[in-house]
Amino acid sequence: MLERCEFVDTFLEIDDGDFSIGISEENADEILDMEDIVPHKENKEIEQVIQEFETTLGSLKYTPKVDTAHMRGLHNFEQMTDEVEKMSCKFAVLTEEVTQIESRIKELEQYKVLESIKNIDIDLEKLLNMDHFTVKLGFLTREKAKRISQNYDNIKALVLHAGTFEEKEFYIIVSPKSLDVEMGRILRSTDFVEINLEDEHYETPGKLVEAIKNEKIECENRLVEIETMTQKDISENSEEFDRLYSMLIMERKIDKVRTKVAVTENLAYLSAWVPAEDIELLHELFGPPPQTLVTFKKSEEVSSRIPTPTFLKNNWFFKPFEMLVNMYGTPMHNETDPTFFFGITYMILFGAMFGDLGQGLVIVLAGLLLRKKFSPEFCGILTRIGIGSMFFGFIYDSFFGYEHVISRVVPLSIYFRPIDNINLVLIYAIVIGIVLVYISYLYSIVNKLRLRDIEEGVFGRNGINGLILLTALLMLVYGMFVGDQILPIIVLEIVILVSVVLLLVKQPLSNKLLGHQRLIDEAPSAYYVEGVFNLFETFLGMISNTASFIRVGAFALNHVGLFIAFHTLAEMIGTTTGNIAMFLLGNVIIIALEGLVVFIQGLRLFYYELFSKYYSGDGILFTPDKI
Amino acid sequence: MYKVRTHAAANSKAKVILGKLLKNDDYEKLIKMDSVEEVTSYLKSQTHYKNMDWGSGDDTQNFEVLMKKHFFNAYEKFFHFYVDAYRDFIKAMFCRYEVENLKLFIRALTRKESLSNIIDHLIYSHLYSNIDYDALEKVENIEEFMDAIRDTQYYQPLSVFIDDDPVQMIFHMEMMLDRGYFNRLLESIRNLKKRDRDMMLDLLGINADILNVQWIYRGRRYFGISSEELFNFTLNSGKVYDYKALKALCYMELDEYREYISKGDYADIFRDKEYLMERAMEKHLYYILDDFTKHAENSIAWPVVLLFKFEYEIRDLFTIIEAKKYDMENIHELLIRDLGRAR
Repeated sequence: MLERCEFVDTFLEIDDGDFSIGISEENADEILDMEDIVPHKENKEIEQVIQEFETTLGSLKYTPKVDTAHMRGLHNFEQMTDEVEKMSCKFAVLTEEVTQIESRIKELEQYKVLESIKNIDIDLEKLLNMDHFTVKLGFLTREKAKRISQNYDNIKALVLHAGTFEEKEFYIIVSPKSLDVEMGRILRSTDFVEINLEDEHYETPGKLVEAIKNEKIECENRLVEIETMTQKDISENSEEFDRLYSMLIMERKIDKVRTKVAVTENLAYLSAWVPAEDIELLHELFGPPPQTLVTFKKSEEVSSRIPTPTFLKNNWFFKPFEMLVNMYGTPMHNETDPTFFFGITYMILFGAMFGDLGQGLVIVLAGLLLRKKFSPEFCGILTRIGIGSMFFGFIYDSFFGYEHVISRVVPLSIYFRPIDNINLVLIYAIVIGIVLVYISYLYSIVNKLRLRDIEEGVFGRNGINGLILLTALLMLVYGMFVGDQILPIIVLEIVILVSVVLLLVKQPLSNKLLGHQRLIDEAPSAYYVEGVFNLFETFLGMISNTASFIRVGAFALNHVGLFIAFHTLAEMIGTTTGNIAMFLLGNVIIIALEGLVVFIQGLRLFYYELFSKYYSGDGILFTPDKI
Repeated sequence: MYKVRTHAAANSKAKVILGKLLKNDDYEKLIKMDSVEEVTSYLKSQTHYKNMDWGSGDDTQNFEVLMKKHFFNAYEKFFHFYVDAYRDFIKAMFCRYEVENLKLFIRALTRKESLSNIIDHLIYSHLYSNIDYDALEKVENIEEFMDAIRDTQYYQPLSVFIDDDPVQMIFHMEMMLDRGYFNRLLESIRNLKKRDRDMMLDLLGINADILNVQWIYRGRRYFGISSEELFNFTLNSGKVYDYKALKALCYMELDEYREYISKGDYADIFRDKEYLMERAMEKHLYYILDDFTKHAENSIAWPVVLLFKFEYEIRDLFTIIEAKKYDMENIHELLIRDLGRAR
């Protein structure tokens, strides 16, 4: 149940003076308590425990897998801490040794630089333990080394450059013991990194270098040894590791949500968005008042600083299409969710443009097979548009590009081959376009009237007025081309004229109707000039929006055409192998390339031709906090 | 050709904003006003601040934050006008505000002051931030502070000083932060085109000189840092004082030092009272800015000069607002600009 809540930072609401729990007698205690309210602190222990566990697993060279299956059931943080404790105890010796060896190897790496002084035949022990002089070995950056050389006359020390090691300069610094403190400060201001040889058993640099080399090899061997030894432990415990790690990760996420909770001495307050339909369930879940108090606010009552998220509710079939709708924009919470309309028509458009029973089947199978590995939403879309493609492929009588195959197997009289009916295909495409544009007009009008936007909803170009104008224009065009008058031309002309005038004066008119003082929001001249240009755009838009759908027909033809091209190539090769190769190549290219193009063209039709009319997509998606 | 292509848009933008900045007249009027409310209502109605989002709050702190936000908006615009090396340069300039923020934290933490004052005033650009400010706001002592910046480039240089006594630590850490900023800026300037690079190196050189002069003085006078150490800390990109001069400066007695500086290019720094030294430095910078835009059509100089001037303007306005709040008299000498000075 709680997986359907999107938690809001309670303090955001409190800061807004917007946090209310309803004032009544029985809430009195809670209200009195509110003055000491503080945010719930995050539990820093969780991070520590996770880190501890990761160190243990790291030394075993095991990367845990997070699996939600392990997260079910009861959990208890203290118990988990104990388990981690036990685990790290169990492997403590091992962990300790691995960390030690690793840091030792790092140390030894640094000593490599001593190579540059290995030919000096002096006992280092004596050199570093002189009575009156301090000798330091270490690194300086080039810039700082230069600084020292610039001020060499004032620095009471010998500074000897001994070699270069990975971009760093290796220096030996000799100074009188009496100046230790001063030298220490000076060296610090130069970012001097000392090499500490105190714990090493050293004689001459040459011997030391030799010893270091040997020790390093030993260390590395030991690491390999440990690794083979732990292999068994890991395979025995891996499930336990995964389970514990998954639970800890979950705990971390839960704690993230907890920080959104506000607490007082006795009580905790949290606020969250929930879908309206779950209110009853929540009441049941939390039980009757004294223990918990649940109050609800409608989205309109919430401060405008906390935007209302939109809860998209579609059945399993249309759910995947939400992804494409959200790509354009999430509907506002008081806007009609276009996913249903989008899903059906996108399947139809894709199918009509890419109609092929065989290739559609390939897309469906690809969607089904890749579902687990790849984004499930996207694969869901693939499956569905594949079905659309198969349906139209059947009607187009096209199987992997070959026509007349299906009709031979299933002889029916419903087949409609695009290449034989070129004009008809294009006309159908425009008819589909007109139908879709009409539907989007309806959506637009409903959405706008819902927001009580009379200016756009009634008089605007995407409102009732626009719908009438489009209808009149279409009738006029129909009459001109077909010669069959639905209404007398004069009537149509008057309708067009009236609606053009309404378009021009939509703002003052609607303001007048609503009784506003101010009729036009800007300078009248600017408004009318803009209005005239808008008119141009309206007419252009109406023509191009409708004509744009010709592409549906064009792609249906193109699909056949492409395959004919490959078919011709195959015939030119003339051998069976050539035929098969061309058949495979052609289908792969058509599915991958044309499939992609059609996928995009379909989206384009929606985003530009339809969504731009009625859909703002300015909302925020309701994202329940998931664990 | 690159000059127009890279700079034309940003320069026009900079010039427009420069033209809108407050004039001396405005400052005279503001200083004569009696209350904070008068000042803010003047800003709201008569100046370019009328376009900014004033929110609903009424207290002066809120104004500061809003004005800084307004300033950063302008800043970010230039970020979007540029690409590649130039964008990186603008980004490097953002780094200064980050460094200043860190300094505020270090000062407050070592002096055991409450952080809430700082947190309310923190403004940073979301375009440029390596620091987890959420984590910083929760720290309670300098160790936690270091933990919070562990993953940033600031951690390593600062970590050396963590065991110092607090007074010296502040000095050292501030110096390291400034050095870090300078090196970052220097690096980004080296990638600019020659004309812009020369101009910016010149400006950076003056900046470095001023900072060196101030560091040596403060280090010697208040913190007892040894000459050798000071020399190691100084910036080596100065314009007037090269390493030889700096070395000499580091080893001078204080009186001699003050005298030497007072004869040179940066004489004005010691002209005023000592507590106004920082102000004097800013004054010096403010009055050389115009030299940079003189023969610099279509160059990086315009946006940079604008950003400096804009920042100095809001700082002067903050000074005026503060002065009105606490009824201070000597506003003139607290401002970065000299209202009497012709220019």
